[in-house]
Formats: sequence, structure tokens, C-alpha cells
Amino acid sequence: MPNVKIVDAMESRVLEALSRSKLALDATQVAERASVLPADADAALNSLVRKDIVVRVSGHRKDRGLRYVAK
Amino acid sequence: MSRVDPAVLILSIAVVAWRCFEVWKGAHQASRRWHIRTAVWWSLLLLAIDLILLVVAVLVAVLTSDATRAQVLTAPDTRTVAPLAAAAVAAAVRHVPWRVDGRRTSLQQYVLAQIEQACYDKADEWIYRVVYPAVTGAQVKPFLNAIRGYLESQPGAQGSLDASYVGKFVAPGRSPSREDLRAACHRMLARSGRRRLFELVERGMTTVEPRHRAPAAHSTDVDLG
Repeated sequence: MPNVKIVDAMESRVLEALSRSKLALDATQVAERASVLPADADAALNSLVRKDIVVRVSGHRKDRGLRYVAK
Repeated sequence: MSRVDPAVLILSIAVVAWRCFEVWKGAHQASRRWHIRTAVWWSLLLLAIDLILLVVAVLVAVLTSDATRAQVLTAPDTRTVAPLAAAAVAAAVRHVPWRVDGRRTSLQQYVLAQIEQACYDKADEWIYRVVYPAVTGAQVKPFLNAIRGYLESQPGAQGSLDASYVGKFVAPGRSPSREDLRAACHRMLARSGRRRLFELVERGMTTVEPRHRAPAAHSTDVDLG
């Protein structure tokens, strides 16, 4: 059976915005590109990380939040 | 050793001028959030590919012996082969896809993305350093409304989309967070509103009206009180 990971509409928007980017993005950048609220983008990104669809990239400057990249 | 053919020289200059314009255009678009000088080094990298290949091509043409030149480059239309070949090879180098972090990208796309990221980081730095201390508490909503007014005044459908995006932050019953403020500022910067945003922050919210607003259409949108 294929390993299908279910994503909701918000996660799908966030994932699409992340996939279009050539670089790792922080949650605000993702929110802006997906036209969703930053809090929603943050929640969707965390959920996608838990589902192993998105990778959390550490080492972002100062304490401005982590960056994310689609697998 | 021969001198550079005038036709080759003129064509080389034309190629360089065309590439300078193209690189500037790309860098200008990618750096719209901040100063274009943020993009200087990345732009020079893109330009260097063309310049190096062009210099190599012209040097090869110059250093080739007269006898060989006479054989290979006799007809006027073949003299221009060197700069055109250099331009073609440079274009191939810029656009050939390769893999970075598991995704396909070209050098051109990578450089433009780096410029965009560098400008985003600079803008972000400014928002943390200047906007956050200047816009606090009760000032946040009026500030976001002013940003929405600016975005609404922009021509095209994008202006409405941007305004409705920022409008979500100031929806009734919702108190905007610092992240909302940051996202709204970035959206405004992405729409070439840097100077306007500087004005909003510097002059304070009580005195600034959106500059390009239609007089009556958005009269209820900006709450400056």
C-alpha cells in the first residue's frame, strides 16, 4: 500500500508556496506567499514537519524563527 | 598577433550592454523589497560569466594567427562568431538546470533567489529594528489599515488581493500580532512600497494619508484615529 500522507487545505497552500521557492523560507515568508495568516502558516508548517513532508532548517539568523524546506 | 576586428569589438560591446541591462532588470525585480545595491555582488557574478567567456572568445580570435584567421574568418558574417558563441555559451551556463538541496534550479534562478532572500533579510532586519519599536499596542491596527490603504490604491487585481490579505489581520474581533505586522510590512515592501512605509513609520500614524488613494472609494478603510 502506498504511503499516502493526507494534508488539509491550509497545509496544501503552505506546501505549494514552499515548493515553488528555490530557498528555505521562514514562516512569515511562507504566510506571505501562500496569503494565509502567519499563525496559520506556522501551525501548518509544524504539522507538515510532523508528517515528514517538510524539513525544518535550523540555523536561521538570531531568533527570527526557523526556516522550512519542502522535501 | 592581430588586432581586434572592429566588427567583433562592436558586437562584444553590444553583447555586454545587453547583458548589463538584462542583469539589472532581473536584479531590480528580485531586490524590489530593498536597495538594489544589496544585489550588487550577485549581479556581478551573473555578469562575470558573460564577461569572462567574451574575453576568452575575443582573445582567442585575436591570438589566432593571421593565416588561420584568413582560413576560418574570411567572410564578414563569420567574424562575429566569437562574441555570439560566447553569449550563447554564457546563456547555457546560466540556464542549465542543476540540483541544489534535491531540487532542480539554474544558476540564474539561484542567484535571483539569493538576491530576493538577501533583500528579505535586510527588510526583516529593518522591521525588527525600526518598525517593532515604533509601532506598538494601539498603533498597530491603524498602521495596518494604512498599509491596506496603500495596497488597495495599487493598480490591478494584485492590489485588491494584497489589501484583502492585510485586511485579514484587522478583521473585527481580532487583535493583530507582531507576526501580522511583519507580514503586512513585507507585503508592502514586496509591492515597491518601501519609501511609503518609511514615511508611515517616520511621520507617525496621525499625519499620513495614503498618497495614491482615490478620494472617496476607500474613505472608510483607513482608520487614523
